Amino acid sequence: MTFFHVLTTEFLKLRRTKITWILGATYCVGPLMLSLMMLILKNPDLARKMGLLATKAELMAGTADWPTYLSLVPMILMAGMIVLGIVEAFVFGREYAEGTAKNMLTLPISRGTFVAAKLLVAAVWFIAMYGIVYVESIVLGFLVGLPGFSTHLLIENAVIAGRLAWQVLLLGSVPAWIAIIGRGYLAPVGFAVFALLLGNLFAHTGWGPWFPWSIVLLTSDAAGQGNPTIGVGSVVVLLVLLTGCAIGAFISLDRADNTQ
Amino acid sequence: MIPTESTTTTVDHTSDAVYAIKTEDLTKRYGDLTAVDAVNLLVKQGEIYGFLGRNGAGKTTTIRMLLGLIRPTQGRAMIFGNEVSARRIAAVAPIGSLVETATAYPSLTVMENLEIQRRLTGVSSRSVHRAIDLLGLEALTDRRAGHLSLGNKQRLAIARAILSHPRLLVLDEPANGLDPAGIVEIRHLLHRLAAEDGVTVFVSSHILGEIAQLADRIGIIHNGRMIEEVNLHSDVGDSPNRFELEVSEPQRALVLVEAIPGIDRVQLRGDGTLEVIPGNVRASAIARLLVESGVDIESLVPVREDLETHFLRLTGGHD
Repeated sequence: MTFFHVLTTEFLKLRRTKITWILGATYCVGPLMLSLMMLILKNPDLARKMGLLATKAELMAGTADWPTYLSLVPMILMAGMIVLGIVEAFVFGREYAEGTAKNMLTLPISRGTFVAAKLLVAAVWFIAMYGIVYVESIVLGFLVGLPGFSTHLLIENAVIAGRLAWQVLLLGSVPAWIAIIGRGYLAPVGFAVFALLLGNLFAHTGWGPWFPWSIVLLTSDAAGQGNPTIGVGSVVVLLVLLTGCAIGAFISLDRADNTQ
Repeated sequence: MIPTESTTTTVDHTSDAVYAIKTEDLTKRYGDLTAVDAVNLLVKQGEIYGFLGRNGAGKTTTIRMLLGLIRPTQGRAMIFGNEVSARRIAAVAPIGSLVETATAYPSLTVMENLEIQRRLTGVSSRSVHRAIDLLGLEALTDRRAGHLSLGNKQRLAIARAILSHPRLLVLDEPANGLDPAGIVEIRHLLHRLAAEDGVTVFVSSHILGEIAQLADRIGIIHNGRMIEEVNLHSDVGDSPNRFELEVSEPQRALVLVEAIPGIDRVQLRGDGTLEVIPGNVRASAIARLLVESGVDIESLVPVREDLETHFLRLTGGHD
């Protein structure tokens, strides 16, 4: 019952915060941009009018059809790595930034309950946003009227999207832990951006399947290596990371002095 | 000497639960800095205990250890017999607290902030309305906490602290940001909670006047050490606790008075007046000794030391 109550209060706090909605809205802009590129490519007259934007669209996508479009959708979804990082940073870091950690930590509730509830709330919010962005992408693909659609293609893409979603989720406890150690949300947000850059670097060095943030980039093909099937080793890396950082977050919250 | 309970009370583990707060050699060190140094506190159930100290004296660090926010380097703290470090949840369950600055979730309304506390402490909705009534927050329930004035934020924080009907209220500087009327209101509220509901109140402050009007007993902390505990109803203000003597031979009188067994302290001031803190020796006995020794007494003036003078003398505030 306590966990349920902590969960509902965490949902209330997240729901009533502007930053989560702004972040969600920003995430939803991705499919709009992608479908706009497709629209430009599909209409040569429009492409001529759009100038540089049309050139960029050609460089990025090439042709305006469903196979091309769906190959680019995971790259949009992959931005969820940053989105989840920011949400986790906010869910944990706000307690320090807003000075409410001392109120939370003096309640007669296990601190592990707070860690679990916050991770779960951020995960649910992320899955909801991720789902909305994916459905939005598909709907926009139909609205643009792209040729070459097939159910098989869509199912194949949905599997990649699903794989990408759980991989991103498994990275979620890292910014949470950093927010607790850093006593705020700046450090984990900075780390999320830095990890993305590092992930891109490792993905090109052959160490990608062993570096957590590269695994997501490889799956989304954002690193330009195709969509490889991630092996058991990579799954173990992600699971160890999730568990280790969740335990770290709990220990830091429970053991560290709160002098805020 | 004003009795110092912290240094004279024998530790009795069987009666730990009798005390709302009990600390034994509670110490917190940060590297070479000792923020709190072997503090022994005994706060009885139902009393209002003032915790007085200058800025940086160790008040907030002690409170944080009582609430389980920081771990003691040495010693232990017990709340109603439950050791905070070992049984944190049981220890903090009967506590309502306000630590330093009043904080709330700024994007949530007053009502939502209290509702969060209600859900997490498992009390009824009626408790929220009671807290709102007691703190005069009726007109502000739909206002976001981020838009409240400092005083109203403080009211909200106190409402949050009393919401779960705590047996012990630990309030760190509760008068912060309140206007004079608000301070009086909170003082009345705390008196009422102590008198009617038997709530123990542990309140820290550096505002002497406020503590003097609120507390039954105060502990004075200075440089991390508890230097004295004072019963405000008997030790300070009402009865004289020192004398000023003007005599014909001050130096000789100093030697004579110093030699009296039981005298707490004697000092010869620059103007030739002897200041005597008599301890358990009666003023008449001192006067008789001086007269019998051939020292003429020109005046003997009992001095009542108020809390402010007492506090400043103890903490070197005049320096």
